Amino acid sequence: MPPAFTSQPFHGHTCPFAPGEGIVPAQSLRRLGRAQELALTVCSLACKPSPPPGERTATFVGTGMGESGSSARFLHDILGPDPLPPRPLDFINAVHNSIASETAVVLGLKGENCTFTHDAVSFELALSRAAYVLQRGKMDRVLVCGVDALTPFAAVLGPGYGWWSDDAASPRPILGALGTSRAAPGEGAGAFLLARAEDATEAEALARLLVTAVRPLPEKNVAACDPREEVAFIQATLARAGVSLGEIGFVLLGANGNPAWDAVYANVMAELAKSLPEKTVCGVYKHRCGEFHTAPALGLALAVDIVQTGTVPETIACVAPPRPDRPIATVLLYHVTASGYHSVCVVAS
Amino acid sequence: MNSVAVTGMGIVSAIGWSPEETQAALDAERSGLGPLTLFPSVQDLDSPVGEVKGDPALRSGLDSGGRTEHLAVWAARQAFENAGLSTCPAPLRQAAGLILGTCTAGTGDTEAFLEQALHNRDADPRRLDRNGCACATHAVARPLGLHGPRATVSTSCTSGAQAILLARDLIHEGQANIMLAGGADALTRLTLSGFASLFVMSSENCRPFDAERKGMNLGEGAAFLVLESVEHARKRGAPIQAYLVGAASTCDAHHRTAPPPDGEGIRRAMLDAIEDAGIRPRDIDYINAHGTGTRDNDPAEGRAIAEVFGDQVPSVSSTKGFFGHPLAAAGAIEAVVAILALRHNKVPANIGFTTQSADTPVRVTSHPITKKIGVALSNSAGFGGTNCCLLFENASQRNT
Repeated sequence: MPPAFTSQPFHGHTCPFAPGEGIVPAQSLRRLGRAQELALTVCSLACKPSPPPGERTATFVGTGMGESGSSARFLHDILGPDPLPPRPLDFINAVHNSIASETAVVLGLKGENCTFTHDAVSFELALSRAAYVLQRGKMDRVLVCGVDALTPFAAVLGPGYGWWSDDAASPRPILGALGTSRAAPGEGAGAFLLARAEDATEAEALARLLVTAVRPLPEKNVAACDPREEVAFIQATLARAGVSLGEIGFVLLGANGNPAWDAVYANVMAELAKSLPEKTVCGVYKHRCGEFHTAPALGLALAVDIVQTGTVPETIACVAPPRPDRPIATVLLYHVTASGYHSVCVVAS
Repeated sequence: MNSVAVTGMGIVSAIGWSPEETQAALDAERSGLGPLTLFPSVQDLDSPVGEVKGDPALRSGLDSGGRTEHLAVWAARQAFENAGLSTCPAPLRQAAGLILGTCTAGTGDTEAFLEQALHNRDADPRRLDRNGCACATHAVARPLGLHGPRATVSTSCTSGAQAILLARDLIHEGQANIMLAGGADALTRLTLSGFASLFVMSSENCRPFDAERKGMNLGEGAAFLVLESVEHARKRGAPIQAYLVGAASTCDAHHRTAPPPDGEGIRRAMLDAIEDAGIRPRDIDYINAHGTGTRDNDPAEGRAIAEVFGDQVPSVSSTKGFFGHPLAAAGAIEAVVAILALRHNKVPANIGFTTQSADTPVRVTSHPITKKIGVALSNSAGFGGTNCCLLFENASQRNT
């Protein structure tokens, strides 16, 4: 690890398990960087019991930072005061699409292979592309993954993103007034195998992805976000899938403990509540995983869990207790990013 | 057919700052490859490179950002103006979307930060804020005032072509009527040292498909196309320069860096693009090959072309002998080269080629040929086994 970074304060949420252990053959994990390991682990799980047919399966990965631990190592070697011979493996891993390509090689996926590297909406862009190629019949299956690993770069970037909560290790609800003073950095990966609804058997189908959308905000300044315009964006996205706000049973938000951003979520939620069914509950999840560019992939995994069980898992912090007498069938995910984007995703049972 | 109109182009590479300068260099068979001057030599590298001559920062007008961003902004602005968008009503212009393919956006700033930090100088952490690929996309969108769909993709050497494919599909989906799409990459120490460590760089100008080829030369540059739905382009009276009639993307799932010897993945990409366009292989008059000049790429691509086209292989050339391999920008730069071939009815030369290689069953065009070109195919392939194929149709052919 480059020594220049090690003096930085570093409180973050790291994945609490050894990636791949017991899931991916050890030989496939050799010579991989951390983001690659995380992605290969969740992609292998998503494809169980066996990978789908190769030529008609696409692989779309969203990653804000890519395998930047490898690029940091490579650059450290060649740019230091006493340069070392460059290690080819670090260079190969440092290429942004090394995560998607390694996954494709191990799982034998030969369809379109694309890596979206667009800040905090990288995963949502990958998901949108997946929906498109399935709807158009270009592919039969799509493996979609969102992944980012904690790297030395995060230590330096953190303050700019409002990261670095001193109490990050203690999970707590973080929505607006309930929360912490800052966000905590995190890492993780989520993967989903998607098929057209008509092609998936009842046993295979965990949930339905009704619609997903991601757009630049009219203004890059997130604080200037107009809640009414945000609700209009959400409603327009739902309308594409023939869904109304009245059908939404739970709203999962990307609030992360940074008061400036959480205020945006709180304001949008207040506006949204005017059109949601009475007692529709909202919740947050980043107090568990920390903040990273592709955290929405974990949000989507939680949303799928909710519509599968009809209940909200304890992982999610809700602003009010969900009503146990009302199973949740439809979940709306909403995120707004510091780089000036908003995204919506709706899943249903 | 699934076609969209190409109504604007912008390009910068080692052979020029515009489509006109590019065409002039192609006509004159003038290579832009030469010694590295941008920074001190890397790991005793003795390979010529395709540096962009002049100062991209001056041309872009940006007061911050790295070399990749400057190149991207210059090429994007050219394409925008070429499509007549800079004088269009603001709402039409603002609704346009943007997709950029890049590998090195932000890398220059990251290198500068690390160099300062590792040499105990004051390192400015704001440099790392431009560490992500999307910084170049934001740099392009901001001055042009684009508010439509926006994305950054990084699929190594197919990035620029993949961006064009994705933009075409967003138009088909109805997400936008106008999309700016392309690729940009500058020379960096990361990429120069990286490819040198793989021993794939040639100590002389590259000679794609030649029996005596010794490897590749890195290059840099940027190119953008303005894609537009045909109805929209006609309605606003935009100059249609070509049609993007087919596109497809595949993955080898074979090896991290090497293609399968039979070129199976790029063969599928070509066949899928041809099917997507609803045409036959024999309708294609020119192939701009990926042709890097490496030991592995050229025979694999050559075998794939031979299998797709049988005994009716059209004119084939790789133009990397002119500007080197500009990585993520390659697919977009070569898309512009393919469109120039259509517009001028001229096949560019595969410079450096003198001797047919026994392992490559395709004969390339060693000097420019003037002939009627109705449809041109542009191949891209990259690390991780990504392949992307684009098909362009001559605008005058359809108009007649």
